[in-house]
This record gives sequence, C-alpha cells and structure tokens, in this order.
Amino acid sequence: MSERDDELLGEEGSNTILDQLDSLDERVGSPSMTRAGLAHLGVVVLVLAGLAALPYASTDLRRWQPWVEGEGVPIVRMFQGDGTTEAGMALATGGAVTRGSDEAVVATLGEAVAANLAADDEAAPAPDVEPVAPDEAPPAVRIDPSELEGLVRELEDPGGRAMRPFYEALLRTGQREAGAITRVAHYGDSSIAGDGITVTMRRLLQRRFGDAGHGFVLIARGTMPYHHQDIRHSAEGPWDLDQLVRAGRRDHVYGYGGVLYRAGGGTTARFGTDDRGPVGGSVSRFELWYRQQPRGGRVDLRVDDGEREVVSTRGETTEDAWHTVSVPDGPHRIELRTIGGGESQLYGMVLEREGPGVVYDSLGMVGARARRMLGLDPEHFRAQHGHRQTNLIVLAFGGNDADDVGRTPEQFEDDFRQIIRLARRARPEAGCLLMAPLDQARRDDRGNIVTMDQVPVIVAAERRAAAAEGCAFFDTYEAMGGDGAMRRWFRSNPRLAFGDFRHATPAGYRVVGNMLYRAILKGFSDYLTQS
Amino acid sequence: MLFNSLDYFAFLGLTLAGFWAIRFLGPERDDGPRTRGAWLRLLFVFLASCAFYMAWNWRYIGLILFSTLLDYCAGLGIHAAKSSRAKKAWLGLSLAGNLGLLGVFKYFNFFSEATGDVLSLFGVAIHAPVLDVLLPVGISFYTFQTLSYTIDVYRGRLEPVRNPIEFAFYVTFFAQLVAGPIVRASELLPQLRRPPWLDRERVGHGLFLIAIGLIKKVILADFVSVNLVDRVFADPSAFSGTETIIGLYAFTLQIYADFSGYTDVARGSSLLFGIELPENFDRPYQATSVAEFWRRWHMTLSTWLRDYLYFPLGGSKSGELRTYFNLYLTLFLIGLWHGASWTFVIYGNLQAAAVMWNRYLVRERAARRGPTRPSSVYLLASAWNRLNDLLRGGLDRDPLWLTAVKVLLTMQFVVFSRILFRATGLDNAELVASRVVSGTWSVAQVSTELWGVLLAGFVLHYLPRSWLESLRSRFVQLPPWAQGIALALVGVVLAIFVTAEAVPYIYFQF
Repeated sequence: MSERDDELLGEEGSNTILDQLDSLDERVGSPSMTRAGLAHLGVVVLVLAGLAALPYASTDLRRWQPWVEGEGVPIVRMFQGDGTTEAGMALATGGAVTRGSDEAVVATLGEAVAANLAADDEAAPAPDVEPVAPDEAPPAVRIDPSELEGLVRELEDPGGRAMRPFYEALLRTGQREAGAITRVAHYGDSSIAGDGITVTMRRLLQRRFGDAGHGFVLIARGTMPYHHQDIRHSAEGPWDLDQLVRAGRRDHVYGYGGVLYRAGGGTTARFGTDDRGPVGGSVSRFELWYRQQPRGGRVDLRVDDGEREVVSTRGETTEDAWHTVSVPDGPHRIELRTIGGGESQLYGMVLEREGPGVVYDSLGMVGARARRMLGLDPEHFRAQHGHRQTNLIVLAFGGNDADDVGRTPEQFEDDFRQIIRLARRARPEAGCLLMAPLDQARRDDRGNIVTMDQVPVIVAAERRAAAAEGCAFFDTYEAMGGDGAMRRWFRSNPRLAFGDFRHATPAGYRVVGNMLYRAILKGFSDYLTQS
Repeated sequence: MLFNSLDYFAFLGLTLAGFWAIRFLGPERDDGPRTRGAWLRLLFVFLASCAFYMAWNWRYIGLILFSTLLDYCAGLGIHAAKSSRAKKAWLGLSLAGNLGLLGVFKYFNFFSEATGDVLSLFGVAIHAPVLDVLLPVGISFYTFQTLSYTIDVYRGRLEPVRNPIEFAFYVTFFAQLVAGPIVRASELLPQLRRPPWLDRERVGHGLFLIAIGLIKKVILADFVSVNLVDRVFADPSAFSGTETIIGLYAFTLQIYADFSGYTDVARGSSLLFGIELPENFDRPYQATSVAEFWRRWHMTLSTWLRDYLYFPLGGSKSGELRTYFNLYLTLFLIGLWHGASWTFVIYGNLQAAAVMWNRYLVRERAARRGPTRPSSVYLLASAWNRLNDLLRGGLDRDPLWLTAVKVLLTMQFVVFSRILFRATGLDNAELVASRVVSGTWSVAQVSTELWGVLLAGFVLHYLPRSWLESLRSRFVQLPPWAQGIALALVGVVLAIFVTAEAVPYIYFQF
C-alpha cells in the first residue's frame, strides 16, 4: 500500500474489484455455453433435491427433512406473517427500530402480555413517605382499579390465608405506621439472580408504598449473572465461596442468601446507594450479616470517607451474628475489608431505611433446582429469617428442574412441598408464595422452538404442592401464554426471550415483574375489601 | 424473506426457472436489449422482486415504487432539459424526494427529539413531535442506489434509461434490494442490455458464494449472536469484564460474517441470473489503519460517499483544512448512515477523527521534506512516525511483525468503537464500557463451542486469500453431481448449527 493510497479514501476508480467487474462485463457468453451452464445447474439441483428427499424414506430421519407437513407452504407462508420479521433486530438498531407496531406486538404476544410491556413511569422516583404522627388517624388504604389494569392472572390461594401475613404488613406500611417495613424474600434460580423480575417488583412496590431501602445483597457476586440493580456493589480479592447450589458444607450453613463468603484478609466489598435509579437512592442503616466463630477474623468497615471501624467475627460460640452501622438517611456507601486475624465468614450486607416502606430482597442462585434449598440447615434458616423479620417468602424454582426428564410428577410435587415446609418453618409469621417457572423451551428435531415436556408437569406439581401446603401460587407459565410462550416471546419485537429459550431478556423479566406485581396488588385489594 | 431460509431458495429456484425459461422459450429467443423477450424477462424479475419485498411488509412497497418512478422521470427530465437550471431543478427534485423519504422514515424522530433535548438545555421546553412509523427495510440502500443514477445522468456520465421496466429492475432487484451491495446504474444496466449468459464457471462460482455466505451467517454470525452478543448487550451487568470484551470481539466477528455473508449470497444468486455484483468487503480486519479499514468495509457505501460527496466537495485538492473537513463529513455521514441516534453520531465522529489522524500522519511524513509547522498534534504525529521508522529498522516498508501490530491496533479501535454501533443507546454503551474496565475476569459464560466458533472465525479471516480462491477453483471444477453432494453436506452442517428460526440480517435495518 503506497502512502498516497493510504492518504485518503482512495482515488476515483481505484477500486480494483469494480475495475475487474468492468472487464467481466464485457464478456458475452454464447447461447450454447449458457445452455451448458443451465444443464450443469440443473444436475446440481437434481442431486441436491435427491439427497434432500432421502430423509423422507424413514421417519427416524425427520430431523433432516427440509420441510414437513404443517410448517406452511414455503414462500406462501412468508406472506402470512405480521410484518414484524424485523423482530429481534431492534437491539442492534441503535434506536432506528425500537419495536414493532402495537398491533403486531399484540398479535404475537396476546393482549394480556402486551399490556404488561409498558415500563410505566419507570424512571419516576419513589415518593418520600413520612410516617403518620401517633395522634394522627392513619390514611385509608385502597387500590384504585386503574392500578390493576393489565392484570393477566391472579394469585391462586384456595385457603385465602397464605398471603394474609404479608397483606397485614403491607396494610401497616400503607397506613404509614412508623417503622412499618414490609420485607419480601424472593428466592429463585438464574431468572431471579439477574434481579430482572425482582427489580421490577421492588420499584413498583416501593413507588406505591415507600422505599425502605434496597435490602439484602450478597458480599460479592456469586455465580454470574448474579447482580443487583439500583445499587452500587463491587468486590475484589480472593473470596472463597460456599454455595448452597453446590452444597459441600457439612454444617449446611449458607446464610440468608445461600452463599457463605470466606476470606482471611485482603479482600474488599463495597456497597452504596445509587442515585441513577428510581429507588435505592438513600440508606440509613447498613447491617453486616456474618458467622461468628472461635477462629473468626476481623473486618474493617468504613462509611463514605469516615473513620474505620473494626468488627471482630471471633466469638466463643459458632452462631449467626449481625453488626449494624447507622447513618443519617441519605446517599452513602460502605467499604468492607477483611484484615486478617483469622477467617471471616460473611453472608451479606443489608441496606435499609427507617420506613415506612417496602424492602424486596432478591435472592437468586444461578443453576438452582428446588430441592437444592433442602441442603440448608432448617434451624440456621429459621434464625436468619427470624432476624430479617420477613413478611413474605417467594419461592421461584422449576426452570432448571425442567432438565430432569427422569423425575416423576410425584417427585416434583414432593420437592416443592418440602421447600414450602422449610420456608414455613423458617418464618411461620410470613406469607408464602410459590411462583411457577418461566416457560422453558428447546428446539425440536425440526428446529422449531417448543416448550420442554417437563414444564407443564412441574407447573402442575407446584400447583398441587402449594394447595396442599397452604401456600399461594402464581402461574408464571400460563401468564406468559402457556404452551409455546417462549417461542412467541423470542419472536416478539421487542424480543422478550433470549435464544437459549430458558431466560427472558430484561424487557421480558420486566413483563413478568409487572404481571406478578398486579397479581399481588389484586390479592391485596381483595384483602382490603374483605377486611 | 431471509436468505438463510428454505423459502428463499424455493423463491430463487422459481424465479431462476422463470427467468431462463423466458430467455430460451419465450418470444424472440435471440433477444437483444429492446426485444419483447428481454422486456418480459425484466418484468418477470421486477414483479418477483416486488413480491420478495412485500413478504416483509406490503405497505412499504409504495415507497420503492415512488423512488423508482421519481428517478426514472428525473433521469429523463435531466437529459431532456435545455438549461442548466432545469437540469438542477430535476436533480433537486430527485434529491429532495429520496432524501426526504429517508429523512421522514429514518431521521425525523431522532432530529426532532434531539432538537427538544438541545432546547431543553436552554430552558426551552417543547413537545417534540414523533412519527409513529416503522423503518422500511433496506431504505438506505435503495435510496443511495437510485440517487447515484440521477447524479450520474446529471453529470453526463450516464444516458438515461428509457425502458421503465429496465430501470425498475435496477432499483428493485431482489438479490441486493434490502442490504446491498449498493450497485451503480453504470455497473448494472450494461449487464441488463446484453443477453444474459451462464457457463459452468459462473454457476460454480455462484453456488460457492451462496454456500460460503450461508456458512458465515449461520455458523459464525447467528451462533455467536444468540449465544453471547445479544445477552451481553441486553444485560451488560450480568457479565464480567472479560466476558464483555469477548462479547465485543464476538460482535465484530458477527457483523462481518452477517453482512459479508449476505453479500456473498446476493452475489451468488445474481450470478445465477448472469449478473455480476460488486464485492463489498476486502478482508476488513486485515487493515493496518482505520482509513484502510473503511476502504475494505462496506466498500460500495464508502466509494459511494467518496464519489458523490467527498470528491464533489473538493476531496484533497482544496487545501488542507478543507480536506480535513471533507474527510470529517464523509466519515461522519458513514456513521450516521447506519442509524439515527446519538450512538451513531459519536461513532461517526470517532471514525472521522481516526481517519483524519491517519491523514495527518501521512502529511507529517511528507512535511519533513519541506517547512514544518510545529504544534502539539504535529509533535505527536512526528513522534509516532519516527517510532514507526525506528521499528522499521531502515526498511522502506513495514516488516511483517510491524504490519501485524498495526493490524492488531486497528482491530482494537474497530472492536471497541463498535460498542456504540451495537449499543441500544448511550446508557447501554456506557454500561458495556463500564463492564469492560470493571476488572472482573470470569469467563464462565463463554461456552467451549463459542470459543471454537470465535477462534475458527478469526483464523479464517486471516488466512491467505489464495487459499479461499484455491478452494473455489476446486469446487468450480467439480462435476455437477459432486457439487450437489458438497452443497448437501454444507446443508447438513448448517442444520446442525442453526440456532433457531432464521435470524434476520443486521444490515436489513439500515
């Protein structure tokens, strides 16, 4: 490449390939040459067609058949779409194409799901909720019917009592009682670990009832993609992780969030409020959750740029412990450093405010199956929830269980009944909600995206387990659209599911969050009416 | 209708059959450019092309037909006009019509909202009007294509087309309608006026291009897109810094394989009609500078802007400052051509800055032989060039290792500047960039298969061109039955890798 060539965008007519094209243009083939060329092409097409026909000889080769009955007539079917074949490209448009027309979205997803697409007023901050004075009458709490618009599916609670403790707490929060914090612990698999559904729930509930802080966060990121939104959180250094999903601890102690972090020294973790989100901008109390033990190490805490405070995790007995750091309500950050002296064993950090308001703990564990929860020591779990004063425990498992093709419906039901009992024992004072998994899909032998066989089996098992154990149930699978939902979500514009057909996109999780929020709000509305 | 679908190949087969049947069985078999046979053949493909486009969205076929009619009339009007003023009026009409459509459907909402944003900085609150329209597929391609025709007629470089069907074929030819290459009238029309012809070499070459294009699309582009890129950009905070960087490299591979794969299928399909289309890529990631990259990437767009914007503005012949301005504007518009958003505004500016820097380096080297004008930029360029000379070790040209370093550096610029290309907005771009520098190292979310595909994709890109040429020659020389078997094997491999239902091509949206 000469310097002159390198200088600019090239000289006019310098494109050698176009120059070559000009010379090719001059060539003219004779009709006989063309006939020979066409004959050649014809033979290629015949051989290809013959080979493509071979798989039709046996149904075992169905996977390799280019077309089968029921797939629509090629070409003709292209004219039967909804004009949104561009779906899925929106991510790459940089705004050029953001979503399909409303009609097309409704046609793909159904009206009910489409109604939950809107991130209504997502950026609006949660209003400051001041507690009422002791001599003041509490405000009436009611749910306006407009707040329930877009309700796809209600909670199933045949006994009508599973959610009552939660609604009672929510009512106190709604009445702005001083210090009335309603706490939700939402356990689940990777669909929860990314804080997609839970961030929607947190934002909506906090905007409606008050922001009482972000809640519980693991010390460091566990298995990716665990992360939380509306908070600043980072960690460095060689943390050793004992994870519930991988079991291994003989004492079955993994903490409230399912992960125990161990370090001798030289590791750090930072937690702070984030003013970029609609909630989570303030905190008035940091609470370190840890395991006290005879060989415990020391932890250094520093709020903002203030003085360092050393916390020893050493104690004569081995038990769960907590250390609280109070700060004036507002934006703050806290840095935690392990400084040796033994091994520090930490569970997580809580960021809270005085309330009234809601705190929504997102407690996802990547790769978790329902029965993994049974690896927790029940007493330890009870102590953790007792301290947390949880008002509602949500259990959202089943997505990974869909891979267990060998398990029977009875085994699934037994799994779910056991984890409900575990939660019940851990916090009898709390409400209980079992949440069905998202539709889980796979490609069939024709390349079509189809719901995995075990999904409806698991959903049915969860429904039975919830009814038997007195736990409420939310049928996420049916709310998404039931059989084939993941395919429709993948094809919709905006795209709501990823190409692994197991996870939703952030927009998809927001839809699920919106649907769950409205279902809970409807239940609360009914509770208010009845009481 | 996507190239990577059974429907396309059924459609292609039927259209080819009709086209060649008219050629040999229709009226006036020995047809020249103005015979009924030629007219019928062009009409048949034109109607097929309209159907092809309507398979996406029948509502927007009117836009293409409007562009076609407008430029057909403008071409005749320019040619017939006696005065320069009348010629300019016809050209102005064509420019206003075509760019107006592009403006309304692609840029209006962005500029409207941007105006509102800027005014709000000065305390003026306006309710920016927004149009509820979808971006018509391929509008940026066919708009530029038809504009080249009117401008060439205006410049006297091209005779206007008299046959409306011939012109309609040129604008709407389905093989390159929605994502290029942007073909000049001077490149395509002469081919339409000669009897179409095929030989074994053209057939073999066409089939080879189609197979290569599908391999690029299905095995490289779609696989890395579904398995990493989409997820990284949809939820960056769910990925470590290392995974995000791998996602960026994966996107670089994806967009090349996607777009060049499309071009290969387009060129291969056209060849089966006896029509040659220009190449659009020249191994862009082997470029040693950003300027060279843009001569190798989407060549029909960069040469279009060069010939219809950069040169008319004076190119490099109008003084130093003006040359830099011309370069800036051209590269900025290349960026903005891709999309109407702030990300593309910044992307275009970055590319422009890099190309201007490339030019400055060259000028600095030349300036050593004449008077110099020291400045901080000059000193930096001088130091850079002297380092380059030092590394050359007295040679006239870069040794291989230094070329490799330059390729590597250029590649990094391309990879990381494309955060803006792929991001859904500035917030998303910021989030991705913050993950890149987050200092987190996990690669747990990059599967072994993905590593393999990424490695294979980049290795193939850097293999000598002669290897691919050799493979093509061998394929072309195969007997037809062997070609059929080879293509069937490619089909089997594609069926194994295919991600799900056909994934749309990225450039369709531009």
